[in-house]
Amino acid sequence: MVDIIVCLKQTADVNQVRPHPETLEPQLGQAPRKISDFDLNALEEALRIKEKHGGRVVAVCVGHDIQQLLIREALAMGADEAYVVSDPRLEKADGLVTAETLAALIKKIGKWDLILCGEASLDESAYQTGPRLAEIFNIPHITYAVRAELEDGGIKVWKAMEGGIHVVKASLPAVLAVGLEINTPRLPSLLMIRAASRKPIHEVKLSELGLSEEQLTPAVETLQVKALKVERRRITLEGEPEELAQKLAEILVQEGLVKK
Amino acid sequence: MNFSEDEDVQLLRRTIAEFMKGFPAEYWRRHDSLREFPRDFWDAAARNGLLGITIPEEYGGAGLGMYAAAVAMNEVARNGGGLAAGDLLMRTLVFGGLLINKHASREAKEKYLPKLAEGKIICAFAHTEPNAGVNTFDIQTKAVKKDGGFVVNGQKIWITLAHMADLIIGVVRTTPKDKVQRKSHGISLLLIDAKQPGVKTSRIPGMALRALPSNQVYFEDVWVPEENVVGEVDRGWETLTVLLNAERISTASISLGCGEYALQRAVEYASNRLVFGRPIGSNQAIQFPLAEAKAELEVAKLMTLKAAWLHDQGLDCAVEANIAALQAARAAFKAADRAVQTFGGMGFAEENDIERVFRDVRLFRTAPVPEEMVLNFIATRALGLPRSF
Repeated sequence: MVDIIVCLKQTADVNQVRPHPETLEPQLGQAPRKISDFDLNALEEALRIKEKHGGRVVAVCVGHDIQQLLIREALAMGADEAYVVSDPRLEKADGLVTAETLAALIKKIGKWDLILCGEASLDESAYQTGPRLAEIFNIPHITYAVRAELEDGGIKVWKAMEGGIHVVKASLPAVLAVGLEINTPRLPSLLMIRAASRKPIHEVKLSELGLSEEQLTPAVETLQVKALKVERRRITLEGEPEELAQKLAEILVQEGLVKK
Repeated sequence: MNFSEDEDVQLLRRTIAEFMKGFPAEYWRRHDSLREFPRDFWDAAARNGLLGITIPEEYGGAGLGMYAAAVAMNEVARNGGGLAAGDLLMRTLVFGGLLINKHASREAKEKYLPKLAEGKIICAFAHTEPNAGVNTFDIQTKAVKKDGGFVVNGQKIWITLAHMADLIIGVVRTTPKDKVQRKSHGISLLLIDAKQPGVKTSRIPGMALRALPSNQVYFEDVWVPEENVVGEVDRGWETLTVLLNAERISTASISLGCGEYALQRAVEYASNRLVFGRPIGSNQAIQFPLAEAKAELEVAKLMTLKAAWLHDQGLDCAVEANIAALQAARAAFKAADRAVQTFGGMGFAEENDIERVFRDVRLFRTAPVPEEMVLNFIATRALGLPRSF
């Protein structure tokens, strides 16, 4: 039996974010919200561990303007209950603030053996939350997990490294940060959706967590986010085939697209 | 008034949108082209509970109503499944689930509902006949009482999927028209085991819904036990009208889904296709018809969901369901037509899926009931004008 905490982040659906045609800034307000893809992998892995070894899966989510529907979706996938902190102060939360808030919330939940989170988030890709949580709790953490097995009271993990797989083992409690390759998150069936409406979502106020001003102040300030402007050059070449090939090759080299 | 949807229904929408990513346009194109039953979709829909939306929990379903069913049919269609995906849900959720659950005997519910929810039964609705057209009172398929059941003889036409069906919901005469006081009397609804040797089918290759072919059906001394009568013997007309209202809401929801899909594809194309150095969508000649299509689809959607809501409250929804079916089919046809025009020559290429949607959305302007008959109904029932027939 293992009790697992899964950290979920509500992000904008980046596939549906369009840059402003003039400022090129992402129009986040217009994009629908979703649970970060990596976090759904974390939830799926937690559910698979629970199905094999028993225990319970508790989803936690901290952020600003969190939509209950998304949390219900996690419950429909199979989480047993959820804890949510939704507060305007968390709108600009960076990895530090997010990890401090999550840790304070997790401390309120009681006994757990394993924390699972996505290795990064869909919107900011900072790769911070998992390692920071492990530091706060002073427990082992394993990142880039592509496979995980509970074994002899600990967890054995296959880590994706450049050019190979690194197999490591850690004692519990531990933090595991998973990548997209680890599994395919399940779709909740209609019966699971129906069952989710009866599962508890605990709303916790940020003020109840006893966090200091320092813990709630982001360490990183985002100065600017802009889309890359892609424009066609519309270069027209004229001449005989040999001459054209020569000219094209020169342009490709000149633009750095092909190395000499 | 309150337009907010239940959390269950919102989750259903999101889940179906994700679910349909497993069945992209190529999947539906291939099955349409080969006229092949979309078996993988059917099995996956069953596994995910989509075939049990209207079936009570005690029989393995979710116990939701017409509103949720309408949403599901709309979502599978608008996420690329089009008419074929929508129709597959309709036959199980409405012809099967709603009808059997509301009007059939306990034996029939126990026998059919769990299998319907699991996708183990395909059902077909056999109403129209070659010699009756849209006039149900003139149907000639008859069922004669014998030894605790009925013996059915007759023929039906335009019966989708009858060649694969396990169960046919048949509309039959149990008392001849000349022996009843009112012409609506003497009609019954039967649950017919379609695997009997006396049930014969012959396919009619057609323009629309090619993955789910239509059929002529012949009943030759087909046996139906008494417990398979839906509602009361000879009083099937009352049950049939309730079913037909649910069918109108379903066709409206599917039409809307197809129209929304066509519109979305047209908008994408208009935004990306450059002619004279700018996207064709920046031309008002392209924009305005697409904007009109959007407006008309949205208005039709309001009426469709209102009809579904009335249905779930047990209130009369006949006028609303008919208006919804009429307007949704027209709006979808217009959206698909504008999509073809926006795509230009590419709209005719099978690989772009627009021509398939165009062929498919034409169906619900003619079937299951032609829009002229819907207008007749609105004129007489909602406006109180005298009948023309």
